[in-house]
Amino acid sequence: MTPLLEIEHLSVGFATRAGTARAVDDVSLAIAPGETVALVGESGCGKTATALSLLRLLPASATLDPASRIRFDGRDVLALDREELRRLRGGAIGMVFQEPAASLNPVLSIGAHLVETIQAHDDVGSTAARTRARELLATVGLRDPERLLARYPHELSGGMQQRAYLAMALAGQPRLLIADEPTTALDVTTQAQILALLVDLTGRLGMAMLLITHNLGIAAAVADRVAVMYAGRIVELAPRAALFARPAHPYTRGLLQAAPRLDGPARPTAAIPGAVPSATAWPDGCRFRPRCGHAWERCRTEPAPADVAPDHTARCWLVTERPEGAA
Amino acid sequence: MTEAPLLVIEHLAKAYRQSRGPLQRHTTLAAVTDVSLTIVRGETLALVGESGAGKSTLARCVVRLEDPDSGRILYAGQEIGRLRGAALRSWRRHVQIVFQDPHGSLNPRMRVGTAVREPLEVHRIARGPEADARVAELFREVGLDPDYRGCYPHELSGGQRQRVGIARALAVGPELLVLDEPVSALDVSVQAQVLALLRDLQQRRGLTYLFVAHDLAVVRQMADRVAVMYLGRIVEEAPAERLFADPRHPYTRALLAAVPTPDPNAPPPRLVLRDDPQPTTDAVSACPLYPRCPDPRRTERCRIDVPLLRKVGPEQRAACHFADEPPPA
Repeated sequence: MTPLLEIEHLSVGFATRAGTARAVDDVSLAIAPGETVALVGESGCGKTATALSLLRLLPASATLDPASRIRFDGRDVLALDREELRRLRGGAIGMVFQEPAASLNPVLSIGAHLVETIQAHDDVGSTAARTRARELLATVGLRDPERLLARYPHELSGGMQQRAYLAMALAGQPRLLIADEPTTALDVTTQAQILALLVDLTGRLGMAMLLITHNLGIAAAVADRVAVMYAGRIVELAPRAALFARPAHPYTRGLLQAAPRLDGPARPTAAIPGAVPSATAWPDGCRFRPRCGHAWERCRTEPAPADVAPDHTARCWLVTERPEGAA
Repeated sequence: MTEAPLLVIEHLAKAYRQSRGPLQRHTTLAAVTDVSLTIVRGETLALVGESGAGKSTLARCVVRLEDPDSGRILYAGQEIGRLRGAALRSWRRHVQIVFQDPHGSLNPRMRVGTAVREPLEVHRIARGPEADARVAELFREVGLDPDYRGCYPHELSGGQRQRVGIARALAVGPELLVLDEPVSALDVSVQAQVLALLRDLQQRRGLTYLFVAHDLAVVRQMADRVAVMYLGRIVEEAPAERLFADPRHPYTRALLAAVPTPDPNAPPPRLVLRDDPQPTTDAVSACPLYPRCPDPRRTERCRIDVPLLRKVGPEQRAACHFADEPPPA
């Protein structure tokens, strides 16, 4: 199938006082129509910068490497003019971010938010826009849409705000939803509701989703495929079942062992030694080498993505080679 | 248990006045309602619940950052609300708090070595070269190279900053540490390091922990006993093993079911709470979970009769009319 979104050799640099930080380094990823891909990683790994670059929402301090290619539905996103870009944002590509409260205007009612969003993409009158707004609120599972239209963001709970925000993202009938940590600010019971809603919506609307999260449990619950990011690079990419059953990269394995969980016997989780590196000073060679229990001489050279299985790649020498003397 | 508890919380209540606007009457929001708990020396009691459950308010009352409206807290038999002057200062050395975000709780303009040294001087524990030596020792104890003493908080990673926060709390030699979401702001790969450090310190120093957290999977690794809070009340309390194996309150069950498991074969949660918690501003006659309760046994009685926290098994208490038996499968 032709991918809906194709990212190739995406590299993003940020100018900092300590030099240029290559926050995203040679990331390639494709998403098929209707597919949900989770981009998983810890703070500073470049997952949000990747998401922002897809809609060219990066701050002015960021530069895109000229080799970067982003194609959406066959079109070169990096070549779009301002008007085309405006139509794409919130149109065929919808977005939701972590803090709904920070993304909603406190002095505008929910109805005003939705009507403005709808009219930005469709040439419709206010009555038609309000009807559509009510439909959208019902789509995201909010009861009594008529009353909600008159409400202001602060009058809603965190979960309701996130639903209303999601309704805005759906206004342009997106074929791809970019959701950056959409449940991180929410309580766990509300998170469960929103995750169920996202699964339901992508299925019902045939919408693809790029879900950015630090939580492997969330990836396991909603994604078709999972990309694990570390220090600016995708270190492992696999279908969901394969990633959790046969993780190939030591970082993925370490992350799975470090994740506290409720199933299985109660026992302390195993930490990954050291700390997440900073984008101004990525380690040489394999970037996980300083924290990796398997590192050997070979890891001083950076590995390229290698095939673990069909559709499953990992950036680790262990996939193709073994250190001398190892079993 | 025969040992006298280190901390006893009795019928604690705390409400906040809420302004609804310049022309509106104030309403009161009950943050903590009639909470009673005990902590035995050397154990870890985890306080879990979602935002607005009142767990932080309770934690802040325990270290006297807040005063309760009613009820009392006894520390080693002494009512802490009555402590004044020298007795209060001496008590503060026994009870310390570690906050969630060391970035927010450490002074950004103060070198981290000075931050750890400060309590030593304030409490006149050590000064001069002796204090220097103590600070170096504390850094080593929390797994930090003493060379970091000259750094500012922003020069450290999140995990290192939290270690500084712990060293600062340990400086005065406390017996009870209140840990308010100590690993929530940390990356998963680093969380486990700090949890291991806390476990290790507890063993070596014989510390008692009040561990406040929203993440039940983290709590499962740390707690001896768990108290679950919902809208200001304790709805269930049990030894950790029992609580995770046989939760009797529907809220506990829903909370456990909502935690995503890093296993794609795990079934999606069957038990989903509807809507959001609705904090009540008036005296209530209904079970606080009533509007959201997923238990199929929920009846009219739950709407008119508040279930009290009562014994439902060995060392297990729950506030539900149906807590005597596990839920129907």
